[in-house]
Amino acid sequence: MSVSAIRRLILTGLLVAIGIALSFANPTFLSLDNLMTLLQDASLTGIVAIGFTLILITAGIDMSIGAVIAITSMICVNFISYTQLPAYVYIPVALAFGCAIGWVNGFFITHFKLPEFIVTLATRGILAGLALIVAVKDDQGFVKNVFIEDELFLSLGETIGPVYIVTIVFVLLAAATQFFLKRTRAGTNVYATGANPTAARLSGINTDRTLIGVYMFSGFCAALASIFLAARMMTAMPEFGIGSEMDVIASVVIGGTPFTGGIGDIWGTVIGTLFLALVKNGILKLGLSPYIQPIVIGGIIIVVVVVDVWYKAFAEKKAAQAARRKAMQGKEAGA
Amino acid sequence: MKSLLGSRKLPQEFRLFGILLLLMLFLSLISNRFLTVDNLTNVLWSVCLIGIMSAGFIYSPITGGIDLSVGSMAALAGIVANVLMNTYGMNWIVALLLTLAFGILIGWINGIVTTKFMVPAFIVTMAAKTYLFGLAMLISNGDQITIMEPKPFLAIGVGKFLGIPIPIYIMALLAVVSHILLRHTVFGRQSIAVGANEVAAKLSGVNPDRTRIYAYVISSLTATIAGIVMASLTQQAYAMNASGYELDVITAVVVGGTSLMGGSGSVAGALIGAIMVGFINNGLNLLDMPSAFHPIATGIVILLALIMNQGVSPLTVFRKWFSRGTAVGTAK
Repeated sequence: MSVSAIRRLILTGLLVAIGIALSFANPTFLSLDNLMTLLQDASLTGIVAIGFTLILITAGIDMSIGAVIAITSMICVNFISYTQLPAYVYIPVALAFGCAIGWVNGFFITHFKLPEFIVTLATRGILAGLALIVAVKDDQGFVKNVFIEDELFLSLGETIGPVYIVTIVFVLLAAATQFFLKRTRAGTNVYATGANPTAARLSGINTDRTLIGVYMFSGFCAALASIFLAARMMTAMPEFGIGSEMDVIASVVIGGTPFTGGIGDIWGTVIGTLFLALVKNGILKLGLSPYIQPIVIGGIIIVVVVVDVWYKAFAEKKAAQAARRKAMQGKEAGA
Repeated sequence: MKSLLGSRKLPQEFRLFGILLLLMLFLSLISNRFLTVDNLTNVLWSVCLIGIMSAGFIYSPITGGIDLSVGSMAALAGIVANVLMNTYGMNWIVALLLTLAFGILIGWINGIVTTKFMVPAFIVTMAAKTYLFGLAMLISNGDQITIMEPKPFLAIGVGKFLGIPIPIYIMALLAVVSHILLRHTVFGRQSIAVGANEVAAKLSGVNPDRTRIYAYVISSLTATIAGIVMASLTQQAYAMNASGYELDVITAVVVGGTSLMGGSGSVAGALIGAIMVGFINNGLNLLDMPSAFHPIATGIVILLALIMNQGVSPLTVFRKWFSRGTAVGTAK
């Protein structure tokens, strides 16, 4: 079994173990309601995490996703308060805006050759500020809490059977992206660009276009999550999503996509998202202080990464030992 | 652009100083409140905090990394110092020394995880930012704690010596020490070597891991000092106190000509950058702009400064983009 398969098995085992422990600690954990809410939480983070996985595969980073969530939800709210346009008009506009932000990020990164994290950190600041400025204000100039009453928009936060629509969209998007990564030429280009940009360029892959495309997809995913978040909350605030980068990074890292680029897939991210959502739900269900959440998330990222590096070094040592033993045996047989 | 900003032979700091003077001229023209003692004192406080932080922060970009945890570290330092002094009743000097030791410990952890486990610095420090913020919220219970005692501690922020506020002495001292450390010691040269070319540095006998760990320790230490000064200045400890400062510090350092790819940096430039960030924020306040414009301005300034540092003309880039089509394989 490959390293990533073992890793995934361990994660799934841990997932089940934590689930069982939680259901003993708090019986309401296993109720259908709680499980579906958990899946809904996981899906909201997960949709963003799918875009983020592609970014990590190209060895990049996108710090602006949280701010994209904030600004797109503000765009929707502006359309709702000031126009009578139906939801199927302004939702595509909001999604296109997410893509446009991704394009700008990608343009600065590829054409000016600037470090990814600093470009996206700068756009994060710019977008977070813009979200506050374009927020719908009342007469005194305070940010107004707009209650969304658009039927079509709100129906996105509803369920089909017991399952929330966002969960279904998450699963479909995950499957489509996995197919794209593993079965299409453009998906292979993404891996090649992340593994070795120079080699990819020399073999005729347009790495700039691949990178810009990946950042646009990340922006699109964040915008999509933002719409579902607004539909679920029935309102939107300029603080939406700010700081959620950490959850997304944690999900993807737990899922086993390394920062070095060229490796990773969507299934790992799906498991990672579920794991993180379970941990967060557990903290809630055990009645712990909500302030523990950031400590746990920050801690998990560091622990997972450290264990990964240890395990990799261990596996390499084992492989080297096995190779040496084989060579020795060959020598003995030869003698 | 060359002719506008003077010859390339001049040190960058002179050009920066010129831009700073232009900015001051512009601000005094648009607002008659700018050149008043009250206003300039206000600017000074924020410049001091950013300046203290960037004096140590600069080592993380020079060695090719970044430390995003400085804001949370500063907030936590104020809270820890307050708990040690007022809840446990420690002597203020002992409490501050313990707080500094705590800052060094966090920096050491950042450095160890970054170097020994080869995790990108911005992920490690972003995670550190998150858990330090959580820790600060947990210890302070999310409250804004007012610090009334002890008096010598409060004097750090508001006291004056020879008519000049003490934070300015602290900033000047740290800047001078940091400048000497960077330019005239083995460690400084080694940091630049590690940031410029790690393999070459390693082959010439430099230990890159140790140099990087020291860089994060220094960065965390100055953030702790800034946190203590801030707590004493504002007389309060609050987990949200310095949130977003990392962006200001990065702006100051980048405007000062430090490369985020590693291998070059200037403490004097960072100091001028800090003053510029202070002026820009002050200008937005004077123009009665909502505080939301602050991150927008910072973000734009970072992007502009980075493009200038990169040495490519935006015009060339855009021209190339419009006439693309043969871009495959030719782009470097």
